[in-house]
Amino acid sequence: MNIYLPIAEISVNIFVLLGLGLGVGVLSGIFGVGGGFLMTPMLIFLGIPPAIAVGTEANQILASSTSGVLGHWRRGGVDIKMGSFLMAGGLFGSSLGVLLFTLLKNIGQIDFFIKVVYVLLLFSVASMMLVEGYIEYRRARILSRSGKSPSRARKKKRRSWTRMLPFKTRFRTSRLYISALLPLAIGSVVGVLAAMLGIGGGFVMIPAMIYILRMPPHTVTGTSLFQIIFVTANATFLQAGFNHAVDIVLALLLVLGGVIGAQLGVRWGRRIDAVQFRLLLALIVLGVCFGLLWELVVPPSELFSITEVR
Amino acid sequence: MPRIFRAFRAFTLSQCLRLRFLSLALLLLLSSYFLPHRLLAEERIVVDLARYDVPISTGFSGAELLLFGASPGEGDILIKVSGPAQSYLVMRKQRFAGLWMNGERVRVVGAPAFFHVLTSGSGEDNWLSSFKSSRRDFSIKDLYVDMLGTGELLSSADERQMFRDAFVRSQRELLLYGERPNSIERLGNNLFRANLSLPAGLPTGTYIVETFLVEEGRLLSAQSTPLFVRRSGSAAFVFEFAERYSFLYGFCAVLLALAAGFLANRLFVGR
Repeated sequence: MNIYLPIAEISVNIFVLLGLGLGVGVLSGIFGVGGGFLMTPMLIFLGIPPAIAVGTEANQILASSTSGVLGHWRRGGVDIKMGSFLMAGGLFGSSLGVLLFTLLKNIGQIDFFIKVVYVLLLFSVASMMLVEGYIEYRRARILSRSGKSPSRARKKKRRSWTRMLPFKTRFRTSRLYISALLPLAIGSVVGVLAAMLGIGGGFVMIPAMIYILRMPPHTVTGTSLFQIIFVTANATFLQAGFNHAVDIVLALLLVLGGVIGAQLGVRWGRRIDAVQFRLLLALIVLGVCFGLLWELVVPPSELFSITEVR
Repeated sequence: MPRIFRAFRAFTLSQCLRLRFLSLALLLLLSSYFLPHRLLAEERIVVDLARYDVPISTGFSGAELLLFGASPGEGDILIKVSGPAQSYLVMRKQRFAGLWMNGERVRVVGAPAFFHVLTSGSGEDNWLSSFKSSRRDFSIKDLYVDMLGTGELLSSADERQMFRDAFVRSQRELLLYGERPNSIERLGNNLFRANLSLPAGLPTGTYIVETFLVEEGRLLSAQSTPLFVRRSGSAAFVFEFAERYSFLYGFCAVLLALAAGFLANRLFVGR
């Protein structure tokens, strides 16, 4: 059964879209990732124009982050002050991102840009997950052999340069005293990525929070989701306003599949071997990455591309 | 007349098909009684469409357009269906550091968004070629499109042709352009009928269906009928809203996503 997407102006099988939302939702439920970095390339593979895939994904992530943040909020896992600084950076970054997006779209290079950045991004995400998975695997083996906890000697003092920055601020919920410039800068960078690539940016934001800001684990996910809401709301608003790139019908279908998928994923996630499954996810990400790279490297069978202009 | 066809839209597809064939049969019956001698006297070709508008709703996945009519005499028939004029950007990919990216570009201005030519004889017939060459827009090959490019690109005839060919190739693949010889069926008694498939990605706008009767390379009669392709129902509403009030649409998209998120949390996560 096909459905006509009014903004993307193509007719797509409704079950493919629901299934896609479901599949990515399951993965995000299992791993606690947003899934935008998988969904946007998949939409592009389906033939949705890249610009509309990106704009619509921002809208979908807004919905899934809203449902996700509420639980963290109740458990006190949101550092509102830190979230506000990240958000301020994020609002600036996502506005800049939409502006850059519009410029690239106007010179006809947005599709190329999205694909190239995705290849780089997915490759680094996949290799990070593979390395992490390998380390965890080794640690588990050492642990089971010696019965001792792994050594924690690797905690070095690496924060020297971040300590010298001005505008020190106290963040009570996270028990931190760091420069306000740090969350602003991180928020901006992730905001640009989020607006241009149709991702929430959690997989960039969370490592940055852990390794650069040194936030305690219990506030990381909630605070990340909190600021993603504002960043994706801003990106949705501006992408719709300037680029006509948000398809509500598509977004709602993806949300529907995604919400159900995420519930299933959370349930299954408790039962399956996380380490092995993370390796599987890494391989999926790597597969999508090479799919995009293939499109970029192999001489295209059709050299010309045609777009309507108004 | 329009009222009848508005009523048609309310029926389901199968009903609609059945009714259309019924009305066609009725029309053919009636026309075989009354039309021919009158037509022969006036030497005019008459054509009608099974419907004058094609609504694109959320479930749209292409449609069939049925054309039928009566022609005086034995001449050949050519039906041209052309869509609204539209501008396109044609870009050629080139290799840059091992990656293929868009390079040179040409704007194709004022090309029809849809262009199909149906003919009664085979495309190789003499009548057709002599007739086609007399006017320039009866075949895709002769279709005039305006091309704008920067620099030296379009000064070369070969390059010009390459970009033009690429544009036509793309439109053909999307089933937006096409030429079908022998696609007009003669039913006897000077009646004829033809069927044209409209693809799922049909551009909206006002189309013109032109029918020509040609005898020995000479145009005997011509008639044109408009065809309206428009979005309808919720698809039309969403598109219009997004286009006209884009920021308000963006705001609504944000609210809708927030509401969906809250609802999802209530239904599943909250417990």
